[in-house]
Amino acid sequence: MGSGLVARIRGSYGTKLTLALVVVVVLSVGVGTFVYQQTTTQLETDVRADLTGSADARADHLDAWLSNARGQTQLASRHPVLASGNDTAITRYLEGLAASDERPDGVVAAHVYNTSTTTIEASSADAFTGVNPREQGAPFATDPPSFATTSDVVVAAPFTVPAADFPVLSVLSPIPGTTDKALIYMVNVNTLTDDFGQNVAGSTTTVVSADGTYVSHPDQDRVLTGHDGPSRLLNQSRTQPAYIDANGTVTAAAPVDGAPWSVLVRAPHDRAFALGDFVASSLVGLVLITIVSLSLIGVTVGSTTVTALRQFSRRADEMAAGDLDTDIDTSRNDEFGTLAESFRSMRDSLSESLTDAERATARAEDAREDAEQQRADAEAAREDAEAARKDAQETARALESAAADYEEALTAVADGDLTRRVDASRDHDAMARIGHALNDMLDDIETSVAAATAFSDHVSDAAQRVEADAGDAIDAGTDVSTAVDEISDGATEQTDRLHEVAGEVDDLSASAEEVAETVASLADTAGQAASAVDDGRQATEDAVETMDDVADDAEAAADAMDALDSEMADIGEIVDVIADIADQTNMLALNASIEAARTGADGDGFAVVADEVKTLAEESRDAAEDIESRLLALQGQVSDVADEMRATSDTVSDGRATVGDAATALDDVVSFVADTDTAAGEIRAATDRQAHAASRVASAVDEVAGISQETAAQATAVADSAATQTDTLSSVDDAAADLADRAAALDDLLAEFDAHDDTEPEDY
Amino acid sequence: MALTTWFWVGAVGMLAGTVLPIRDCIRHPSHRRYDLVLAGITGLAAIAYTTMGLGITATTVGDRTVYLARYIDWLVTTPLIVLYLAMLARPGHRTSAWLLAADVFVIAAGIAAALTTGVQRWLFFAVGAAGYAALLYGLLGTLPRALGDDPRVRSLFVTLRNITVVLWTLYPVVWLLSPAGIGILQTEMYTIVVVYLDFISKVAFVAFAVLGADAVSRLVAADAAAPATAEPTPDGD
Repeated sequence: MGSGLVARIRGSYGTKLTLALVVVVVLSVGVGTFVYQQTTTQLETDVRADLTGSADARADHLDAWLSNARGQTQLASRHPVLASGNDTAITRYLEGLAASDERPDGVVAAHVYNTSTTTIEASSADAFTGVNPREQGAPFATDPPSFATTSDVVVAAPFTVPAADFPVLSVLSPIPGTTDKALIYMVNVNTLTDDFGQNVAGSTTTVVSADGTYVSHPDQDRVLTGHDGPSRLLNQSRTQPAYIDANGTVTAAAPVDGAPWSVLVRAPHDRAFALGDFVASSLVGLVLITIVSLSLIGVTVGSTTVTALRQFSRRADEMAAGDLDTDIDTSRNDEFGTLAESFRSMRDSLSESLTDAERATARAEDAREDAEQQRADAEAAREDAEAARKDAQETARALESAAADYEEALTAVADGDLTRRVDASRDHDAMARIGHALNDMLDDIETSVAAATAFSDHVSDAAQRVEADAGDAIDAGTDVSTAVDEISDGATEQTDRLHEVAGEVDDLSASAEEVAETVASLADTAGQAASAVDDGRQATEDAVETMDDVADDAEAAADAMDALDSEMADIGEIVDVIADIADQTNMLALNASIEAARTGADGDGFAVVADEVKTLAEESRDAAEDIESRLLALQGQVSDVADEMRATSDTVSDGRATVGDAATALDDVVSFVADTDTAAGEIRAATDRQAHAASRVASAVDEVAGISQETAAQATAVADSAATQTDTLSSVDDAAADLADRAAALDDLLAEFDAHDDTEPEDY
Repeated sequence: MALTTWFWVGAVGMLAGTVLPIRDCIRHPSHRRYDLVLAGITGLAAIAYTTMGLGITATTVGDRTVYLARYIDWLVTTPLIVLYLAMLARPGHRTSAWLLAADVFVIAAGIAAALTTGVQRWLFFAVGAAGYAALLYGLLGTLPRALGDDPRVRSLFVTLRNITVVLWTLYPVVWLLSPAGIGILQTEMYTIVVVYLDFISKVAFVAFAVLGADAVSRLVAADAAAPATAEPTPDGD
């Protein structure tokens, strides 16, 4: 488990950081605890020293006072006046003592006390004179001290008396020269402890007597009551300073040497050790603030670092897995931003390399497939060649065997067996044809030999008849010659007719080509039409533009006219103003003439001028009216012109619309022409095919004509042969006799050949 | 120094923290909803500290003084912090609702513990601790599952969530040490520590949230790209 934990810590930056921060916190807590311990120990020492020192000092203080009080009392008791018996002098002396600067602190009164009668015989305070302390329960009276010598001084236990409202301490010393008189200093106990200040916060100082009652206490009511502190401490403090920390109170005690008293200084524990609590609080607060600060640092630095690193790790894994399209955040400006930027450039370069590699792989794959294909092709070619070689071998073998067969058959035939035939059913076409040809030849030979045999048999007989029939034959030969001539003529005619047909077919072909040419020219025409239509459309667009310009011009002109119109209106207003001025001038002139008439002869000159002005004003007004009427007319004309301009503009707009329609119509024409072009193309293709067919027909007819010609030529040759035959027959007649002899010889010769007899000649 | 001095220090700190989201809101008006929540966190805390600085809402429970304004501040601002985390993670409405309820419950138990004495306050403290455990489960388990894939949003959420979880966990510890608890911390030190904790857990939270404002931009952009998932506005303006 331990090693697993170490592995976990090693494997996680966040855990390491957390651990480091925890170590810092633990260290702070440790140091804080140590400091607190030190402080507490030190504080305890300090408190103890403070309290003990305070108790010691106060005990010493009390001691010093007591010895001073003793000395003073003894000194004062020796004064001779006290023993003189003169009461007045004694009282004066006592008053002087009580008022003296040298009396011990806290002395409120001095008495002369008669120990036998236990009454105060004289006192510095009148109230005490004649008082019997025994009756009042004063310890020094109820339990009278014994004086060893006349110089002895006794400090009696404190007490309260009705005559005083404070606890009273008495210091007694016998008066020398008397037997039963003593001087008593009465001391206010409170003044002894008034100056016990607090040198430890919340501390109180008390004086406790050996019998366990408070001699002095800050609370007046507690004085002379029982002591409530730990008695062990009190007993211990009889002889030496003591210190105790119990029941939430810290107490230090010190003995007073001059009296059976102890000075006790006590303080509540929590107030004495408040500094320790404050230190503890401050240390804990400091540690807490450290923890808060470290938490913030750990959380922010740790979280952002760990999340950033985890993201980088994930991106790297993704890149390792081949995903190079991952989004890498590079918005930070610190080292993480730089790292992210490096990651991104690494990814980009990886991506590029990968793309290159993939491209190279694809090329290699293509090359491999090509090679494979070529290899397959070569294999197929090799197989084809092998098959061809086998075929050739088989063919050669077949040819060889066929040739052997043929050779054997022909050898037999040559030996005279004319019935022998070759086996013509061969796989090889050429050999089969040869076989068939051989068989045909052998058939012919056999027939010929058989015929020749029969012929030779009959020649002898026929030779005689030939002679007789030769004449008939000559006649018949002539007839044959004539008939053959007729055939030759028919064949020649047929040839001519065929030539005619060929010519007609040629004509057909030519006309088809003509049609094709016509169609081609039609297509050209359609193309021209299309371009012409395009020109037309361009022209209409130009016309539209021009019209738009005209319309704009007309509009501009109309606007200019309107502007002119408004300017004229302005001029009319000016003219109106002139007319008004003229009216006012006229009025002025009228007034002037009236004024002139009123002034009589002296104003005649003035009247003349007034008349002139009036006339001038009237003329001005007339002129103004004239201008106004002309302006009105002109304005009307300008308005008309502007209206006409607008009308022109509208007309042009209408014209523009019409031209637009024309353009649309031209578009239709273009599409029609395109259709025509397509149709013409189809026709041209059809006629091309027709012309081709016609030329094939023409060549076939030419072939037929060739055959006919050949027939005619052969017929002519036959006719010539017939003629020759006729001539020959004449000589045949002569030769027939000779022939008979020869036939006999032939018959003997033919007997050597073995031929079928069933091939009898039908007729001779 | 008097306690009020520390309260005034807290008030000034919170006020300074409020400036950040307001500046962000001016720069990016589209972040308004997010920035208002952030400004609420520190702004309301500033008001609470001002009232404490003026000595208002101080009440005595047993032998110690309790400042009610501090608890009212927590009752309002801690749900705002949880709400902001929920706005980043986008869980369902029910999840957000129970997280906020758990948070209010924890603070209410804290208030009850602060206003009572003796055994009762330990009882309330235990109840609040149980509620806090549930809230921790929500912040550490439920919310991250609802988180989208955007790395910036994830990063911002994790940082803010960790600040919140770690610092909030220190509050009960500090309370245990305070005069209301075992009393090792004296009143003034307790005040200083809590003011510092408050300052860090609120102002640092707000500061990091504003620093990660580009994550909010991405969330807002994603909302704009997919309006079907956004909450419909009732009047459309």
